[in-house]
Amino acid sequence: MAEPEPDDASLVNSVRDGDLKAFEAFYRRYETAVYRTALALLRDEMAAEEVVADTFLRAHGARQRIDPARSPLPWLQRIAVNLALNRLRRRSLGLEPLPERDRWPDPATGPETTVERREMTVALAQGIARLPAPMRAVVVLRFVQDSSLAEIAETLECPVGTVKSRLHNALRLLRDDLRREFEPAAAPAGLGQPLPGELEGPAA
Amino acid sequence: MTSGGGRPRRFGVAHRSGGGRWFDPARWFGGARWFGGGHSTCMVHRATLLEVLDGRPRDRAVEQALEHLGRCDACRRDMAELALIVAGLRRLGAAARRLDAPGGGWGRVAQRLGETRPSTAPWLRAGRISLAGLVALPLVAALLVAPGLAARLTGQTIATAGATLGVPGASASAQQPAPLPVPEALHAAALERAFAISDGSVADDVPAPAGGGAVTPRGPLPDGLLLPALVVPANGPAAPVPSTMAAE
Repeated sequence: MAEPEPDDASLVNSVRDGDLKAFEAFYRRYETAVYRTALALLRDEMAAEEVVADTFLRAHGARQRIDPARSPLPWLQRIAVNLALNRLRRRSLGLEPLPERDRWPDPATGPETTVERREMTVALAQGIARLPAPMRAVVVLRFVQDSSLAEIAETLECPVGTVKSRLHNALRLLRDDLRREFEPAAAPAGLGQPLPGELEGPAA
Repeated sequence: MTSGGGRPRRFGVAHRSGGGRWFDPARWFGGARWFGGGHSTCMVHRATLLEVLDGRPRDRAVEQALEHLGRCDACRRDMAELALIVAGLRRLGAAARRLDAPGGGWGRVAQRLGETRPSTAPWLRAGRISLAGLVALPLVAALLVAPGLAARLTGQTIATAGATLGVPGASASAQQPAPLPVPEALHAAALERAFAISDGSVADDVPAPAGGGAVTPRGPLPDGLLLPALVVPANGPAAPVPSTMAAE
């Protein structure tokens, strides 16, 4: 009979004591969540795997700083997001090659999926890749990790208000991106049409 | 009716609108840039409605925003677009959450941990070998080996150096020199002639080398080691001889 898995606190305590078996269990427990974040940010499987490995190596080096009273996931995500954003910065400076193949899970595989929805999803995924790095991190944590605003604020070490404004700005940027993508004829329902308020301007 | 309020938004001017607040961060920082240049009331409500899209629970501000949405076409269209974006992001997120990390990751991490583990090995900690000690070790070894190396370069053997250093039993083998081909200028005899260095001492009465200055009397060198002598040029201050040359 398999042993019951230890809870977060006892696992973290064992990791803090330097137990390598416990660290392996710790790795296996959080590997996937960290990988998803890294992949969503970097869109490159190899780079994501490297970020996962680096994240856990750093976590092992700093294991004394893990608080057993709290979930270690936001802390791990913070390390992973910082490593991924560093890579994105290096990419933008040309110090690191762009991924050979853009990798994003395809959600539009069901039979009910319409062409428009599929196109929109693809465009949306590309739009996320064009977002500024801090906004991209918020979008990924919100929609891929399904983190709350407070959890994102903890992960990114910034106020909740900053998270909110980054998220809202990201949504607006993505909307503008899709407008450009589908404008004017092929726009999905509701997209690509100018808003009356934008044309009219403020009333005198 | 497309919007409430009739005043254009001006940066830095607080409006009394919406919930009756003088200062609203959504209006100040979310501003017309992101809200399509709409009216201030719309901007306030759109910020709230965006939070509703993101799961904000209903409260008084939300009720007011929804009420506004019911009578403002521009906001309805704006929210419809953003709702599409949010729905698309949720689909993407759900698809991403079905992904699993590829296998083999732990093996790589364990291997790299293994490579770094000796630095924290218990024997190392128990022995209290500090990093400074590890750095100092090669330096000490170099100091001990240098005379022997110099001796080999000058045609002597390590054993000679050992004898010089007083190593027991080294004098016997010192009788069998194993000279290495070295430039004549670096040969011991040449150095002796040049700097009057003889068996670890500097003579007081040696004539100055040709073209050079007098050798400063320094007396016997400690422990028989060939330490640098100071050569005084004919018309200049004392200049240190490089330690490698002096040792040779």
